[in-house]
Amino acid sequence: MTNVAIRASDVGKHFYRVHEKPMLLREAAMLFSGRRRRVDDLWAVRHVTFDLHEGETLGVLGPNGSGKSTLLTVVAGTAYPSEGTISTRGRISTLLSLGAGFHPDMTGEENIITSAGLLGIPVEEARRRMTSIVEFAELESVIDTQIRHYSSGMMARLGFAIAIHVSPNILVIDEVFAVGDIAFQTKCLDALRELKSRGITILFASQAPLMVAEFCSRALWLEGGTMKMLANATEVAEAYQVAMTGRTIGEEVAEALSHAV
Amino acid sequence: MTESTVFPDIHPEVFPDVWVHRNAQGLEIGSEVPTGVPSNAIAAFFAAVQVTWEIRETLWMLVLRDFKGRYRAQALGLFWSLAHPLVMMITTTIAFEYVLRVQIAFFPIFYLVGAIFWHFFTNAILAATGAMTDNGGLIKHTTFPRFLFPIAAVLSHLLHFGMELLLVFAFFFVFPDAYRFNFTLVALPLLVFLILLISIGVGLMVSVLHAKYRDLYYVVTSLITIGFWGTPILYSTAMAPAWLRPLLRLNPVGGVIEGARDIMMNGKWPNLEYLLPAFVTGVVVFVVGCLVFRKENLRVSDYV
Repeated sequence: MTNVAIRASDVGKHFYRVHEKPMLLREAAMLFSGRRRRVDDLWAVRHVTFDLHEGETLGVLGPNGSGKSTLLTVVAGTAYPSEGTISTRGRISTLLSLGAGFHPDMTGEENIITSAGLLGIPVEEARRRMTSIVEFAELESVIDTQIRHYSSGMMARLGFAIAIHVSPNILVIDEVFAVGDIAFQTKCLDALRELKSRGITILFASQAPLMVAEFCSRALWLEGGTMKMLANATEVAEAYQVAMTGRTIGEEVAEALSHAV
Repeated sequence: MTESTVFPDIHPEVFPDVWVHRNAQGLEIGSEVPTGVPSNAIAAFFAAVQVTWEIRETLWMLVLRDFKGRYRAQALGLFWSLAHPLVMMITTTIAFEYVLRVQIAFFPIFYLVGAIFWHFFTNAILAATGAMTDNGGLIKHTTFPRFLFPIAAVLSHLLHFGMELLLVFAFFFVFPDAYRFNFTLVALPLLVFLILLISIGVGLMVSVLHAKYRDLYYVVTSLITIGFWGTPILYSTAMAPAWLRPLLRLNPVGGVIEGARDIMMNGKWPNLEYLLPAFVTGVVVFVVGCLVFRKENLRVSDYV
């Protein structure tokens, strides 16, 4: 038996520029009737190939628009690749945006049940994990309140707490916990480390090379949708930092500290 | 913070040895090496049924969320939803029985039986039309099976239909002579199942197409207006000229309505003359709906 958990083979995802916005039937009719506009292909991601093993953590680095989020949606299965094959094994939990699936009129507790359900957790199991989720999110005092009254940070904490409690085999995270306060961010990273040590495979998109270096075992640097570098996380993070800012991570940290003095 | 106290009872399940492969053609479930050919439609259909059964509780929550959401903002809530068919029944009766002098026995009940089925069908497909676009966030960001969004929309209207059906039964106490209740009532759930099948078929199709073609909504509403007159709600197919009847019988909703009237008002088994065409078109609509959904589903998250 293999221990590969995610395998991307020459994965590409393109969008027709014409289709960037939903069409009207009128426009579709025009396309059919021969007045076809030139269709530009926009390859958001192309020729991405990697194997990710059970328990590995892959950081995905890249500037805005480099295809990180698109790659994550393809791995998570919410979008299909346009070419190549993405293969996965096991239950996938996603944290691609905060509050997806939250209903503002329902209480925190009701939202936990529904959200967990949407991530594939039976109601009974969600109930069993309720205390643990609420405790982790530190929302004991407001869990009976409609979440329309929550702050964005509270929403983020709830979303994150649910996502890690569904005991996935694979966790796909799109730099969302930057919203929480620093204490919660630290808690999240600790929790992710714990999940990692329990053999969960994590795919993690980030803008922060330092975080990737610290947390991931390997990293993928995307640029213009293609793979610029795939190697050991510290190596990639360092190279990325240098390319983006002209300084190494060490210099960056030293610089920041020197300003602080 | 010691790490073991973060979430004490959470352990990942063992990685299953089942691979899910996705490519531009679709989804394949199997062993490590993909064949490149998506799982066939029949296998996919049964897999979908199995998934639905496994997460029925979550589906039920979505249904209730839709259902409650419709009435939460209104002080009298459910009252209004039942007031609507009543008001329609009264005004239609005045217009047709007293002004136009249509000769139909027990016209209020005749109309009400037809109207509740028609309203279920149209409300269900209108709700399904928006099911993908309204749940865009969930579709883009969670792996929840998408076909359940239009199905939840249809089912939440089925709850509503259930209450309207009780209303029809309640009218027995007002017009006892309009009804002939007997053992044929056991066939009524089959008719409900048939119209549910049709609604889900149409719902699946319009939900994915609406994500891509946003003006489909206006097409659907126009077709509903036309469909109202092409369905035996204010008349029965037997009243139509002979040349028109075969055409009317192609409308499966019409067959369901005729059947429901025969059962409730005449105490007769539904006649195969209209039930068979209704059943055949209904099944065709369902299969086509599933196939369209299967194809368009691959790109739906690009559009919502």
